[in-house]
Amino acid sequence: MRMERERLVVATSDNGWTVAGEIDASTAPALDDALCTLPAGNGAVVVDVSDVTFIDSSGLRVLISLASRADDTGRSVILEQPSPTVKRLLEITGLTQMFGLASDPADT
Amino acid sequence: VTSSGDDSALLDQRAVLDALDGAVVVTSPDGLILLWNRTAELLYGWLEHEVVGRSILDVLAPPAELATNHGDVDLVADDMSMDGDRLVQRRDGATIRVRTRTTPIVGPDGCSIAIVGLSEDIGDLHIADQQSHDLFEQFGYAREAAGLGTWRWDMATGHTTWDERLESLFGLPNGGFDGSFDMSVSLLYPDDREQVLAIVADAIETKSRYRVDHRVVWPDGSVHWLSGVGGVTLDGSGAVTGTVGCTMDVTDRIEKELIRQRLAEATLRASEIEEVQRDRLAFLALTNEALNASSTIREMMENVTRQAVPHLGDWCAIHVVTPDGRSSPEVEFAHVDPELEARARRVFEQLPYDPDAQDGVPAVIRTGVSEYHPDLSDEATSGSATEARVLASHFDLHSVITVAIKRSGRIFGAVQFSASASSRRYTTEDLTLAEAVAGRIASSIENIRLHERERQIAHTLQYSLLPTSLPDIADIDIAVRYWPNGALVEAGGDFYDVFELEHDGQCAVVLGDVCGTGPEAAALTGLARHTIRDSAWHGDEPEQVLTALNRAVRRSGNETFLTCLYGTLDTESRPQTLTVTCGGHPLPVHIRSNRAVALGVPGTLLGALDDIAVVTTSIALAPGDVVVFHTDGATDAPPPHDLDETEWTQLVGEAARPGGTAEEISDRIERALEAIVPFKSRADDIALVVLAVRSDDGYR
Repeated sequence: MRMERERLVVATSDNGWTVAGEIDASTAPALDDALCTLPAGNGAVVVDVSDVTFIDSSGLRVLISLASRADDTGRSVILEQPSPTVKRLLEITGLTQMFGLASDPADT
Repeated sequence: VTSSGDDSALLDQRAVLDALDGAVVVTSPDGLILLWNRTAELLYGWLEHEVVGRSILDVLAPPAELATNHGDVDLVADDMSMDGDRLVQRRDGATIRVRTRTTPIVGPDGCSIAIVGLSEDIGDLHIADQQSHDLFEQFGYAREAAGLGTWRWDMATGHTTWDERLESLFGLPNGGFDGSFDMSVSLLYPDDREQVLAIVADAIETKSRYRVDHRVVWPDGSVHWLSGVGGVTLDGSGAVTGTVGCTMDVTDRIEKELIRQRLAEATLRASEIEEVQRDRLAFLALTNEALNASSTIREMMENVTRQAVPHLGDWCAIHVVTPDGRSSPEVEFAHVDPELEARARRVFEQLPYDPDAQDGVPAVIRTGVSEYHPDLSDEATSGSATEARVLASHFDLHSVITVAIKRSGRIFGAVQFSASASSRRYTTEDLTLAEAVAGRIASSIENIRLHERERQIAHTLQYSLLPTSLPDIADIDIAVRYWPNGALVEAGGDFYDVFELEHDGQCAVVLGDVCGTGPEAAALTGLARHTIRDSAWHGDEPEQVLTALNRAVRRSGNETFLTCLYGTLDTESRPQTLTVTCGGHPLPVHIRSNRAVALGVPGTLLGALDDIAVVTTSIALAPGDVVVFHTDGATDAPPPHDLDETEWTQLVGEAARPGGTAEEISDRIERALEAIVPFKSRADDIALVVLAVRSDDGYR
């Protein structure tokens, strides 16, 4: 599946999606729709967020919802190559571990 | 005539003969010329003495070329009588035409002794006759060529004579016209009869010529155009004796003219219609603009009425019923003439609104049925349109349209357009246009009401969730700021709280951000504030407060989460202490001696996971210290206006550097944020809490 919004592009990959662009209140619903069905298999769901240039709490909510659904079937969500903006948000919100990122020693 | 002895008598007789207008020639019975008067000399060119004694036949010979012809010469040849018209040759060789009467002079024995001939030149007369004859022939040809039919009406007998051609022009066979006046009238096209008869009567009256184009109906029913030219005939005394004239078929010409005329009219009409349509479209476009530019009902009413005149009339009134429908509708109007508008306001103030009126605005608002009075002067006696006639009498309005402002069966009011007698008369197209405009006004009212309601709810909700007053804390100055999102339509998710704890001199400072907006976010905000206060008043440590909050959000079943900064202040201890515990929230900024740094340790946001990891950081405050809590709305504007941590820390540091009260520092931060993206254009709400520690001499 490939869908385009003005400022957000989501493409499916073998084990998840590649998301690029800005994720805010106006683009988050489209992202939520795009990530609604988990990829087939039992392995970790991988979301490439290397080209996400902006993300706020609306985007975080979509990612948390995805992680929660994956967790229900015993799967985890890995955010691959998080861009600085994604990394920062995950750090602020203390969710680096939740998305399979190496946690900052300062967190613990 | 014979000679006489009396000279004077002779002279007189001769003078008489010479004075005669006619040429007198006396011959002997055998034709020898005896007398030739003066006029004969002038007519024939021969002098008397030259011809006396000669034979008349020699002198007045016919022209050589006619010698062998019949006619005049025969007369001369048959006998000596020269009576009649004939051609003779003058002395100079010219041929002249003369008319001669001869009379014999009879002697006592009964025999003629002489013949007297009296002749006159009839050349001119003959030419006139000839010309007349030729003309008549030419006229005949022309008549043939032009298809002219002729008639003659004899007034005395009442009989009209038509020639064959005229009969054919009326579609009649030869002899088909009976000559009666009645029949000639009956053949005229009924609608043209009166005009034709009037023109003929006028011509007879004034004894003049006339021309008339008219239609005739042929016996086969077909209609033909004829053009007649006639004149009256007069008798010697100048009395009219009848008419004569001729007529031709001009059907082709007239029909072409009519077609051309019709085409010209159609073109004109089409261009008029086009212009009106253009005006209407322009009016609709302007109305849309007026509606779009209105954010309140009152503004909309003013914009629409101002814009409607003079585009759709001289007067426009709009009535909008109040949402509760109990009081009289709100009224706004515009008139092209400002003076009349001022008068209208006075009239309307004096006229009580009668919701049960049988016609006009109240009836339209009640029934939703449009009222359409294209011309009030026509209906002055019909008994309806009472209100419209009041308008008409007060403001010189003659054409009125009143339509309901309605949408999906709901009636919001009525809009009325009127035109003065001098400007326009409404058509059903205008009615349609007015209804279209009213429909747009209706949806505009719906939107404005909805928007107003949403804003009101958002506002009420938001402020109900914020503390109305802050506790007074010794030596620490606190300022809070909250800016709703620019659209103001939904309650945002940011909240703050400052409250005293159980122990004297201790208080909690809370700043949070519920993910999402609207009623759900508002509900969670309320839950968060109460949970935090409950837990804190219960004596829980900061980590426990946030853990309690996380649990409460998880249990609420809300599919959302929040971030929260929980701070405590101990103002009794020396130095004063501040703790900050962060649940997934952006870290506060601590400014001391112009150095701004992030304070605390990131922790897990609340509501997303069953277990959270949060850390409490404690610092000792020094006089002049400033701490700023913020929500992500301050930094997370869409690129390129987003601020990273370094930029934000720098912004806050600069705002704090000049010192002053917490309020003053807040004002500086506000100005800096406004400069980056104006608050009214921001999509997210922003909350700030600024703590400023008083120094011994006030604020640093």
